This record gives sequence, C-alpha cells and structure tokens, in this order.
Amino acid sequence: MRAVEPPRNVAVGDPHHTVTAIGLAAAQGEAARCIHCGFCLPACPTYQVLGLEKHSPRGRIQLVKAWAEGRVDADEGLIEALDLCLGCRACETACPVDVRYGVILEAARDELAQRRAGQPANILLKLALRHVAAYPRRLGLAARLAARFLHSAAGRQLEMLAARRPGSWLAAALTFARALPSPRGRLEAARPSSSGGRLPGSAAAPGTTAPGRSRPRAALFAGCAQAGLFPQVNAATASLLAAAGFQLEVPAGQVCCGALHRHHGDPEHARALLRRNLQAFGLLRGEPAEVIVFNAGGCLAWIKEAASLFPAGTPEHAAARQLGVLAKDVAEVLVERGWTPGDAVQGGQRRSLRVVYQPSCHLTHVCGVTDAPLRLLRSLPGVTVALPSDGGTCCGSAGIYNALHPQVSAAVLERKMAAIAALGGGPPDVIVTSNPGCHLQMLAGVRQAGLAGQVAVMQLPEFIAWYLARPRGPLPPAA
Amino acid sequence: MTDAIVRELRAVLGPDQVLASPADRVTYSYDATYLSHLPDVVVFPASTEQVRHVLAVARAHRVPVFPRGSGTGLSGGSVPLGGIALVMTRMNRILEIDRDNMLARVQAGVITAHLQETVRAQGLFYPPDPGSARISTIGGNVAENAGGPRSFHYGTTGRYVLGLEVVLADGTVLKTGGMTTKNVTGYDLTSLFVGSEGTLGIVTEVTLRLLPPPPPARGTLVASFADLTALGRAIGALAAHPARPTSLEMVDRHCLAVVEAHRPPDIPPGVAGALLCEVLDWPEALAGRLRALEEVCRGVGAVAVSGLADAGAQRRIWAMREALSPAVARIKPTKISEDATVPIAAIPAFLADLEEIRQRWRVNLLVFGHAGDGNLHPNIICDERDADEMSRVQAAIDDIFAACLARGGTLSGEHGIGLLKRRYMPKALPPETLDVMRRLKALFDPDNLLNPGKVFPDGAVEEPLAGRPVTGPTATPRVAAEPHDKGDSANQQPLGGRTA
Ligand SMILES: Cc1cc2nc3c(=O)[nH]c(=O)nc-3n(C[C@H](O)[C@H](O)[C@H](O)COP(=O)(O)OP(=O)(O)OC[C@H]3O[C@@H](n4cnc5c(N)ncnc54)[C@H](O)[C@@H]3O)c2cc1C
Ligand code: SF4
Ligand code: SF4
Repeated sequence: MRAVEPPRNVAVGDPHHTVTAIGLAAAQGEAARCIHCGFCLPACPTYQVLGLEKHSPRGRIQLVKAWAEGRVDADEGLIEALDLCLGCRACETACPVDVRYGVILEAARDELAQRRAGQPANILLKLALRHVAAYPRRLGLAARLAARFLHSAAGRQLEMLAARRPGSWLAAALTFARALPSPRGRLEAARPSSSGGRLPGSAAAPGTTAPGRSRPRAALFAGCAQAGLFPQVNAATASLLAAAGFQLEVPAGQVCCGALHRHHGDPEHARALLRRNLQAFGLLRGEPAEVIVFNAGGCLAWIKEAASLFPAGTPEHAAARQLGVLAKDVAEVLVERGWTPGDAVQGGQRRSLRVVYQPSCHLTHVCGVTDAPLRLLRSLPGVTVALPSDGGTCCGSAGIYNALHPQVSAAVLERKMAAIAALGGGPPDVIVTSNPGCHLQMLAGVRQAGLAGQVAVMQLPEFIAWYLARPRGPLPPAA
Repeated sequence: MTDAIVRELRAVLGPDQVLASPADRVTYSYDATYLSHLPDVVVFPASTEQVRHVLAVARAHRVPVFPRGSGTGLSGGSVPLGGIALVMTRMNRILEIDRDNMLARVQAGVITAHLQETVRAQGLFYPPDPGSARISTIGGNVAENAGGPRSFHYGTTGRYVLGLEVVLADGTVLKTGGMTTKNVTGYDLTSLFVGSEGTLGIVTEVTLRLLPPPPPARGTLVASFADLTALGRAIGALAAHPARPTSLEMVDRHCLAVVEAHRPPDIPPGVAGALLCEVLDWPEALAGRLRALEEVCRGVGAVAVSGLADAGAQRRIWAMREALSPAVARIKPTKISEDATVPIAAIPAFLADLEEIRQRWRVNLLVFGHAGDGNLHPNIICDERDADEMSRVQAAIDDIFAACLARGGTLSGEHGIGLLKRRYMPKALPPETLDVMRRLKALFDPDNLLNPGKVFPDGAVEEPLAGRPVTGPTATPRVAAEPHDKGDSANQQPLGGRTA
C-alpha cells in the first residue's frame, strides 16, 4: 500500500453529529440508488492507486450513506476518503445504473465544509481561492513569485531536502511547484480588455479561410488559470474561432467561473461570481452571444451544472440555465460549425507528429465531449493521435488537488505517465490537453518521467494554431 | 479483545495491512448484494505466509475469518459477520504464464480481466467471462465457480482450474492438482475447493488452463418468439445442433418492454421473448453457420430470425442488452437477482411457472439469463421501503425456488449460496448430502472459523429480506468495538438487506 498520511485532528463537531438534513438527504437519496456492483472501481484513479475500498466510488458512496444514516461519524477516515476524491466523475460514466456521484460528493463536501469552516487551514484556503485564484493577474504573479522562490537560496535548500526524501510530501509538492509557468509580460494579452473586443494576437490563423456564411457571435470565456498561466491558449482559441468565421467577443467584466469555490465549500462566493458572469455575458439582459466558448473543460463542466446555485423560478436561475445551454467547448463549437483545421492546410510534405491527447475529465464525464477534440486533431495531416493506454483517466490535477494532496496526485500522475509510455514507440512529440490544470499537471508529469526537453505540452487550441502557423516547421518547444 | 487482536495482526502483517477504523470497517461490510455487516478488523495479506499468520491469530482467539476478493459476489458470500475480513486484493501478481504448457499461475487476488488481457497479449485465451470480470478476482471466481455468457460453450471457471494452493484453517498449506489437464492421482481435491465459497480454506494461488484464442469472426443470431414454449424449444434445438452458438442468452417480453427505445429492427414489437446468441467462427464459415442456426429457429416457430455478420447491426443488438441494466434500475431502486437454474428441457415449463408467479404475487419479474445453460436470472424489481410489496416479493422468491426445484433444477448456477439462499438448502439437497457436506466442512475447519454462517442453513433466519438482522452460527466471541468507535451502530444495520 502506498502510505498516505491521514490528516490529523480534523474530526470536528459534535460526535453525535447533527446532520444538516437537507444537504445529506440529497446525498442519501442518490446513494440509495447504488447497487454496490463495483463497476466503478476500475475507473477510479484513487482506488487504483491506493487500493482501499474507502478510496473507491462505491466505498465513498456507502460511507456517505452510513454517515447520513448516523452509522458513522465524520471522523478522520471519512474525511480522508472524501478529501482524497479527485472529483473526476469517471465513476459516473462507468456506473451501469447512472448513480450521480457528483450530487453525493457535493452534498457531503458541503456538509464537511460547514463543520470545518472555523479551522485555520480552511479559512486560509477560502481566502486564497477568493483573493488569488480567481484573478488571472494575481495568479500569474503568484506563479512568478513561486518560481523566484524556487531559485532563491531558501528554495534550493528545500529542493535538496526533497531530493533526500523521494516520495515525501515535500518532494511531491515541489514537483508541482516547479511545473508552474511564469508567463511574464504576456498577461495583458490574455485578459479581457476593459472595453471588450478582440484579443491581441487573435487574428485568423494563417492559411485558413472563413466559410462564406453568416458570422455568428461567439463570446469567449477567458477563465482565470487559463488567462493567468496560459494566456497563449486564449489567443489561439480566438484565432481559431475567427478562422472558423465567428465574430468574436471577449466580454468585459467576466470573472472566474467559481468552480473551485463551489467544490471547496464556498457556494456564496461561487454564486456571486456566477451573477457577475451572467451580467457580463448578457444573459440577464437577454442579449447573449449565440455561443459562449470555453477552452477549459473544468470551467465548462461547472457552468453547465451551476444553475443549481439559484432557486428555481428566479431570473438568475433561468439565465444560468441558458448559460449552461449556450456554453460549449471550443472543439465542439468548431466541429459543429463544420470547420476542420486539416482542410485549411495546403498540400505538401509535412513532418509526422505523434500526439497523445489527455482529455479533461470533466469535459469527458460531465460534458460528454469526447469525439470533437479527436476529430480536429486527426484532421491534421501527418499527426497521429492516441489516448493514453488507460483511455484518458484523470491525471491527478483535479482543480487544486495536486496542491492539497501532492503525494496522491503524484502517484496518480505516475500511472498516467506509465499509461503514456505503454503506448510504445518512445515518448510522444506532444501531449495535448483540454484544461489549464491538466496542462500544468502534464508539465509536471513530463519532468517526473524524466522527459524534460523531449515532449511538448500544449492545450488543444494552442496546438492547432501552432500547427496551422508552421506546418513544416520544427517541433513545438518541449516542456 | 479487538485491541489485542489488532495488535497481534499488526505485529505479523505490519500496520498498513491491518485496518480497524470505522471508515474501513464500513467499506468492507458489503458485497454486491444489499447485505452488509461490519467486520471488526480488515486485513490485507500480501503472501501465503501472511495468510497463515492471520489464521494463526484467528485460531488463537477463535475469531472468524471472512475471505473477500473484490466484493462483487451476488449471494452475500464475502459479507463479514463480525471478525476478520480477509481481503485478497493485495495478492494480485500473475506469477507465471507458461506458453509451452498453455497455463498460468496466479495469486488469488488477480483481477479476472487483468489475466484475460495479459494472456491475450501473448496470443492465449482465458475463457471464463463473468460480467464482473473487470472487477472480480480469480479467487472469488474459483470460490463461486463463476460462469458467464460463454460458459455455454467453454464451461465455467472450474473447468480451467488445474491446481490450487490453499491455506487450511489449521495453517496447513495444501497443494492440489498439478500442471496437467488430466490428473487422476488420488481424489480431485481441486474440484472440492471450486465453488466452496471460502468455507473450506483460503485460496492463495491458482494454476489455470489456457486455450488458443477463439476464431476471429463474430456473428450474432437474434430470434424472436410469439410464445415462451416455442422459445424454450428453440433453446433445446440450438443447444443440440452441431452448429450450436458460442453463447445463448434470452430476454423475455418484460425486458424488451423496458428497453423498447433500444429495440433493434430485428426484433418485432410485441413478441414473448428473444434469444441472443454470439457465434464465433472462421470468416469463411460464419455465414453458413448463421444460416444453419436461422433454420433451426425457424423450424421451431420463431416469428423473426436474423443471423448478423455486419458489425453495426450486431452492435445494435448488444447495445440493447447493455441498456437493460440501467433501464431496469430506473424503474425502482431495489433489484433482486436470482440465479435459479433448471435442466434445459425444463425451461419452457419453468418460464411458464415464472409468469404465473409474477401474476400471483403481482411483482415486477423480468427474466434475462444464460438460457443455454438453463441458468435463468429471474430479477424482481421492487422498492425495499414498500413493506407490502416486499412481503409479496419474499413469497414470490419462495415460489421461484420451489418451482425451480420441482422442475429438477438447482438453487444457484453461478452466484453461490452465501447468506441469501442458505435457508433453501434443506429443500434443495437430500439430508445425507447436506450431512456429508457438513462432515467435510468439519474435517477441514473443525472450529468453524472460515466464513461461518454461509452456505449451511444452520440458524438462518426465516426472512432474509429487508431489515432483519442475520443471525447465524457465528458462535464466536463478539469482538468489542474499539474505544473510539462510534461506527459500531452499523452493526444494527440491515443485515438481511436486499439483494442486488
Ligand atoms: C454486475 C455483476 C455482474 C456479474 N456477472 C456474473 C457472471 O456473469 N457470472 C458469474 O458467475 N458471476 C457474476 N457476478 C457475481 C460475482 O462477480 C462473482 O461471483 C465473482 O466470482 C466474485 O468475485 P469477487 O472477487 O468479487 O469475490 P467476493 O464477492 O469478494 O467473494 C465471493 C466469495 O468468494 C470467497 N472468496 C473470495 N476470495 C477467496 C479466496 N482467495 N479464497 C477463498 N474464498 C474466497 C468469498 O468468501 C465469497 O464467498 C456478477 C456480479 C456483478 C456485480
Ligand atoms: S470522482 Fe473520480 S476519484 Fe472520485 S470516486 Fe469518482 S472516479 Fe474516484
Ligand atoms: S458502478 Fe454505480 S451502482 Fe455500481 S457500485 Fe459504483 S456507483 Fe454503485
């Protein structure tokens, strides 16, 4: 067994627990639909890595059910089991009777969050999420500070300490810290301009032609991690949308989607953010764009489920539901538009590229977008595309899971890199992802697997735009 | 008491391999039925030697041991009634694949699909295909003699077991069988352990026979019938024909109604039931064989038959079959899945019995199963919170087994007796047979330490359904809960729950 230190001193509240009946009742009702068949076990990365039933979907569901029925308390074991869930939702796709695990997890985590609300670590997390994570510029700054720290004397000492303790919390945490990009100077390009409008550098990708049809309005959701850490992905998304003949808008006033806040027990803040986005994207005024384009699977998945933050019957609820309908992944939008990047490429010799596509879990299991990204990638001449041999299960990024549980995250990542290696034929040229968190994680994975300098990591729009710009050029820069 | 046992177990296995927290006990309290009961402690041995150590502690304290694979069993076989839950998943190494002799040697905790895939990569084939193969362990398959759709052609797990390593209750490491497919050197102890449901010893290592892969071309035969008698006749005729299919599954009209939205054009609306068969053959032979099987079905009065070689058309058939489980689960939350098995000539009569039982007790009874083996899975869809319905369900189950036995059938084809069916054992077996089984059990396990309370009817409660605690011959010390342990209240939880 891989030893995971259980969190200490976390059992809180009255041991004879007064369950907030409403929240856990929803979990209990859904948990009662689970028939214990275990079909979700092989799909669950934490069960595969940790090997214990409490770290499996079936185990977590039965634990929450036992908790709701007053048979166990929210003690260390239960809290550890729920904390270590990646929330990847692969178990929902695997379940033959469609148990909505997300509902169970969310209700249980809300209940835990209430109980832990007063604990310093949780206050800190909440503050960090509210005041840093949700702002691209602050996030970029934090990443730069982290990089600077790692290069400082103190940082180097930590590195030495970690090197002596492979597999330790510190070593795992540093793996992820080192992977943080520091997009100095490129931040401005990525933020929605105050007046709205186009992103700099978002001219139509070269060699492409817009279909001679009407030009529907597309509004780009810029995101916070995406805009703060990977601004080039937003620029690339804009260029592809322009090439496909959309009129692009990047609405001003848009903010973080709030997924992290929601998943970490801060629904109030998530609600406030959602309200601002409903405003920014014109949904409360009833004048939204025809499609609202996301390039981060995690944000899209949350936005599709976010209407539950408002009571049914309110204008916000209706607007949020409409947002959920209009919100689409960039690959889906391009495919539905009938735009194929391969068509935009002129003939001639091209160097062959081996691409591994590591999909965002939420894009797959919550949004059900699986074909469109592969179709776009496979249309590019000379590009061969494979999923990792595990079929593309969670990489262990899972929002900020890698920061909160670096050891388990590193173990999940190790399996992921092994699943990529198992494809054979040596390391791929590029690992393509569909979410900024996954991007970061795969950067760490490439280093962890000793492949630094050999494999590039890019997000889907970024890779396609890069390809279209230089179909015969050198390989993309390796991580 | 528990503390002392936990301490001793930790001393021999190490702290990581002995868990006793409420969360761990709750998550090792169930299998794929709705039965559950908390163990006092959960252990994860990593070697045969460690299994011996666990049994030594168990003997010293007279604590029962409940072997468990992946907990996908459908009879409550691995549900611990207190004591030690002995989880085999950490003994998950494939020790050897011997291509020259076409056999594999594996630890008992190897996941079935992992073995299937590993031998396939080497150009070999492990045929048993339980629906749970991606989760279940080989040890669990051996202990339940698991089957699957292809058992019709290839037989059940037992046919592939050449030899075993088993730890007996007294600590003896017993080796049975060997490396040959033929073996008459003394008693066939291997077969004695196959299907023994963890009551005679802990299986630690299994030597399995492998086959060359099946021929590559796949066809599907789908035949529909206006009445169950004709459907029953077709099962017999297909099974007896030289071209017999590789698998022979059935769905009745109640199943078809549930997946009406997925009904492929090959099955006309309103039929009484359909047979779905897989046919594996060489590409050049497939079409001829499908035609021959179509003829057989027409000859016994099928109202529609198609022999499909086209991949897309076949996919539609199996997609409908796959849609069945989720669709059934949406009707009502509780699914009681029985495993009654009858001689194939008795299938038409038994299907008629089931229809009558459905009406008599007004229960939502659907039949889909491995018809070619007479292994019908009558499923009752109900809601455990509805007491009136549940009492009718219980009566229906009693009648199903009575009818099954009256038709010359048996309680279980592949899921085992476990806790769920033990009370029917005296009706299913002559007293002498049950007595010899008891004597065998006493010979191997005189202190009744291994999976006590399972298989034998002793002390079985009258009503195994909903909300009644299981009491059994676990006349073993109730191990006290650990001091911090609030989770013990789970012990009062529905023991005789529903079955999945
Ligand atoms: C959705 C679903 C589909 C299924 N389909 C099929 C099917 O097609 N055919 C079929 O036959 N079954 C099927 N099953 C039932 C089940 O998967 C099988 O009985 C399987 O063999 C159980 O394996 P397991 O590892 O989960 O064992 P468990 O459920 O953990 O245990 C089963 C029994 O084996 C004993 N046991 C486990 N390991 C050992 C060991 N090493 N030594 C001694 N005793 C041991 C346990 O004590 C228990 O009595 C299905 C179950 C589900 C949930
Ligand atoms: S969400 Fe992912 S990690 Fe969590 S239980 Fe489901 S499969 Fe496992
Ligand atoms: S697959 Fe679905 S029903 Fe089966 S154990 Fe997992 S959640 Fe429960």
